[in-house]
Amino acid sequence: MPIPTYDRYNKPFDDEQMRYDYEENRYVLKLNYAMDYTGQGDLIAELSSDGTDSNAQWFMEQVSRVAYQYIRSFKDAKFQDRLTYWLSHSKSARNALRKLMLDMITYTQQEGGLFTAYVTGINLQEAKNITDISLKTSVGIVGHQIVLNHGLGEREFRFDFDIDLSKKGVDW
Amino acid sequence: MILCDYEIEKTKKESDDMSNIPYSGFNSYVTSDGLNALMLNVLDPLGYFANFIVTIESPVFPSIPSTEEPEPDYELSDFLLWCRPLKEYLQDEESSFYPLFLALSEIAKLRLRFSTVKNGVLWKRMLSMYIAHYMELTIQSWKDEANRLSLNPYEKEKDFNFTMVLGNEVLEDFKTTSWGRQFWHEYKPYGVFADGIWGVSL
Repeated sequence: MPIPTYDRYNKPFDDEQMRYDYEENRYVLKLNYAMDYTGQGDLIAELSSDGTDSNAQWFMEQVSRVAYQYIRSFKDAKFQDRLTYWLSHSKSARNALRKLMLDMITYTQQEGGLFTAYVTGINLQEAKNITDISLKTSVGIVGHQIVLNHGLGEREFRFDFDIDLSKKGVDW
Repeated sequence: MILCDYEIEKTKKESDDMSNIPYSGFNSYVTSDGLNALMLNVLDPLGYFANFIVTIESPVFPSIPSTEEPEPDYELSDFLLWCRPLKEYLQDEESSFYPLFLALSEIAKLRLRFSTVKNGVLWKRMLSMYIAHYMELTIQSWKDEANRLSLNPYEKEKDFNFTMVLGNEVLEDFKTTSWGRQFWHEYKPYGVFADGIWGVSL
């Protein structure tokens, strides 16, 4: 059983906003679109050490990695392949992912944002764990709300659909 | 009048439906207490002469046409009228929840017969509450937040139980969800008459 036609793309695809990475099975924001949408026009200059946009491109990759990992945190391990398929074939999921990643750029530029996903959570001064650290800080409050509102945080899928694992990495 | 076995069986079924006061058309009953019954039974205990039908000519009440409504169709829209929170999850037949709704509505109709309630609006509301109650429990188990149905580590702090505590009383069964409580409140007066013995069928 497939995803319903009104919410399905037959294959993940590239456009002027995002491209799809078949090796890692995830969408990545295109740099020009991201800078334009978020108003971060000086992003390349800010991140570059050699005048190229390679650091800014790496940042787009990192935004994608953390966004996907945050979404994956809501689903149990047994659903991860179906989740990958859904994120790459659902119209609503593609739209939600785009919104989430754009918001993460804004958030990261303000407060460190997604890089808080990599803090140790240890207060070295007191040699104690900071117990209330949450993965939510990596996407921010608005990002978290985008995840919830678009159903990316649901534990199960709304539609009963089948996947063909043999086509993973080739067709999706 | 002497009837063959088939007619006697038919008459018995008809007579089961009537009260102690006979109605015209249902004013007959089968008996073996005929005048010659004893002798006939001795002569031919397996013969159909042993059975007689008695027809009461008077007093007989006039026939009353049945006012019972036929069982109405129960559809998804009836359910969503009472259970709005699930509307988005039941948009079409491809929704994961739709087969669950169909299965639960079939079970609900078995548990809650229209012939017991005899009112379409009440019956539909009670069916909806029954279905919503089990929907909530099923969704809770589908979410599996404690990772019980997972090879991931079990999360003790998320181990929700389907119990409500009120004072010192632990509420169970239909009282564990708001839908179940509403269902039980409505169904209680009818449940006494369902299947003869209280509480057996539910």
